[in-house]
Amino acid sequence: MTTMLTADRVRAETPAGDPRRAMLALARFEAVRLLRHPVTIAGLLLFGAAEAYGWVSGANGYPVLQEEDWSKQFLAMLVLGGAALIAVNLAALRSSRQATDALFDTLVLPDPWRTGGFLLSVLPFGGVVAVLVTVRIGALAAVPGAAGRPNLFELALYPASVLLLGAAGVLLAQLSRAVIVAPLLLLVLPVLTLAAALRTLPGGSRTGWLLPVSFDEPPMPMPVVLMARPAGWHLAYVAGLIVLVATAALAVARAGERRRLASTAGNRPAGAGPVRPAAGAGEPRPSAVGAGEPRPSAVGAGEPRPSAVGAGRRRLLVAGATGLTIAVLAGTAQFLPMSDEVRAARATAAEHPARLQTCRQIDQVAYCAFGGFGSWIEGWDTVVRGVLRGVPDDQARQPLAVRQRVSTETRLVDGRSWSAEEQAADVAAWRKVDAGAGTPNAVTVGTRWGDPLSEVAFAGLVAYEVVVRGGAQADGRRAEAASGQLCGARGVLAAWLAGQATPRATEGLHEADATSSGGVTFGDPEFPVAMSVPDREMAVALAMLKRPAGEVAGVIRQSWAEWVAKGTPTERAGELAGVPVPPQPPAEERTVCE
Amino acid sequence: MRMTRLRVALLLLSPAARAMPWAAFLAGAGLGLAIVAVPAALPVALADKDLVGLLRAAAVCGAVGIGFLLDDPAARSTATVPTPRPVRYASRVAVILPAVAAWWALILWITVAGAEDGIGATLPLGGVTTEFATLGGIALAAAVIRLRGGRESGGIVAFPVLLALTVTAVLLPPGLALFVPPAGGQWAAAHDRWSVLLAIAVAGSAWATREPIRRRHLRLRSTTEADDHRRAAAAGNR
Repeated sequence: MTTMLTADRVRAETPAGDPRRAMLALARFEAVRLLRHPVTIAGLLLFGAAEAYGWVSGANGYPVLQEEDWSKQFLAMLVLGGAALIAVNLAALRSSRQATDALFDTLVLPDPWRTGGFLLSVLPFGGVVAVLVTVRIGALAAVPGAAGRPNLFELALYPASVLLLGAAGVLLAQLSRAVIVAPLLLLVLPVLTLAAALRTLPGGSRTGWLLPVSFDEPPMPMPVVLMARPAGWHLAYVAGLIVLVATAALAVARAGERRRLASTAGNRPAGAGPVRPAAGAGEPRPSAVGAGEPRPSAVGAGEPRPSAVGAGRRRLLVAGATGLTIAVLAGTAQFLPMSDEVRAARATAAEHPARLQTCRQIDQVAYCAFGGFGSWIEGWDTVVRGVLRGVPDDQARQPLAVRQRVSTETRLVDGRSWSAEEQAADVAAWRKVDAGAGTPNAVTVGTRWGDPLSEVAFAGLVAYEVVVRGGAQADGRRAEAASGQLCGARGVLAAWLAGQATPRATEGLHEADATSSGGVTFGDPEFPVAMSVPDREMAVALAMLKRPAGEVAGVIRQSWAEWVAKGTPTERAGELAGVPVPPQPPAEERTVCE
Repeated sequence: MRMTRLRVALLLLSPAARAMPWAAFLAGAGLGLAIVAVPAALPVALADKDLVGLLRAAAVCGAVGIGFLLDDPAARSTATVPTPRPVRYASRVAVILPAVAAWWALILWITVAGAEDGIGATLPLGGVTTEFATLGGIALAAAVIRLRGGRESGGIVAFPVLLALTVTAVLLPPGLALFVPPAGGQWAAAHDRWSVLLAIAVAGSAWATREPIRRRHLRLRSTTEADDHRRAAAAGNR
């Protein structure tokens, strides 16, 4: 009887018994705790440190925005989503860990509403992540060398994956009281993501789109018109999953609450009042946002009111069904074949790249870049000028063409490389395309730029063209192999020209030399065109790089015809440049020159 | 004295094994097993770097589980028992080591047996085992440090520390890399770094097992009490 009286007084003093305010208060409190949780701070620091390293190491000089928008999704899911998963899970389990569960039965907020509070508490962290990602892409877009444009769907996936993992943390807390479950889920996610990216699996690398973040990487950055990532569908899929997981968490909380109430009611001695004032107060709106009708006050009600229970169950069912439908539909739509426009654009990019490109003439050099990549022309020009600095003026003044290329399908599945015939056929096809576009023997440049290896690869191909053309002027024909191999003095000259072009190219040449065996190949392995220089020629070129560039350039200008002649041996190059030539390696290790 | 402690530790083995919270470790160990066993059972040809990656994932799972093995729901009561803290931990570690070693041996055996194209024989098992030992050592060190404050669960701090360190190790620039591919020249240098980390983790664990209550306070108090007694006795005599 006393209990009943107290409960009546509680009802009189509580305005309308609306647990929504209590839920929002709990959400606010937990949101602040989540933001300053050590795990969250560690996650933000890790993400920030990886980003800061990119800026400090100079890797962000030429960002491709349509690549940068998704390339950090996996890391963000692991460190930011993982932080949300663990911190929210620990928060939701706090009462269980500290054995204060029973105390909550005396509070106004029933379990499903508490669960709703935890779900809502992830939203501010999602907002922080959204701001972080926006600032990051904004900073990248502000770099003078930025190319392309970011995709908003890809950017929205960062906060979405955080919200999904946060909701999963709440659901796991409902399903298991064990703290270890959340970190184990976090360990399974990257294993599954990386496993789905294996191209040997049935279905190829596309199964990864069923995970929060796919690891489906194209062989190189692509112009926006060629991209086939189902970013919009994937975002919708993840949004559906968020609704589904959140609804599941609420449904489990509700079922647990009802089970507990039923057992409490069964155990209660006859005549005793209700154990908790807000018993069976129903459940919060299943979706995080939106307005629900004011809930009838259930304070003092021993059992949930049937209509409230029915409405709650209906709302949960509707929300769950909506989430499931969105997830299934959007999840399936991700696997639609790529659109005809993209397919056509890819064919055009392979067969007639000039149609997708705009060209710009700087003095005697024509640069043709895909849409969005025009900002890189200055950078390319610096390297071309660097290479031409080392050749006689009449050679340097000759017209030259540079054409950007892209490979949309990888050629290097399972370490398979090209057969000589395939490569020769592809090189011939490219030459034909170039001739048709009015830029015969155009030098190839890819869609990565700003790192030492890309720079030296491009410098190498420019040097190759200059050297081969110089030889052709001397004896009337272009003496070149499909593999782009240059031996003897020509190889030494081309490697030196490439290495001295810019400081970054020098760095790239040393890097490429350190990781190569037999010889150094200049050019993207996805492209058929390349230049390769055997180790012995490389050694002479590296020795020449140690000498003052002006001095070596003087020597080369004086005896240019001898340097570019096909038959001039490496020994002669060393003699001309005044550097020692290493002895021939044993016959079985010797590179065969075509 | 040392013999007595050893005997106590031996006597504690079986109660310690019973009191340890095995569920969390079994969850981590089971997931680790699944991570290596599923690809081993499937007819997927994995390269050595993929298999080493799976072993590493299993190692982190196991280490996360190990972090929970020192948990003690009765920490506040056991803090007062006469058996010193290092002896209590030693008896637990004596149970943990063989169990974990057996699990890891099983993991390695499954990986080697399941590898296709004879890659199993070429796997650098020693190096990967060093990595696992280091991760497990770090988990134990983090747990022991956490438990110094009379807390009940060390795993709750050990696993975030472990996950954060793992992500950090993955993100390290090439010069400091820890998770390096098996082929390539960095393996030996990286494993020197792993060994240093293992030594630090073991030393840290050993240091953290000392009783956190400072001896100086006890001595001070006992000195004061003795002084009081002496003063009281002197007063009585007077």
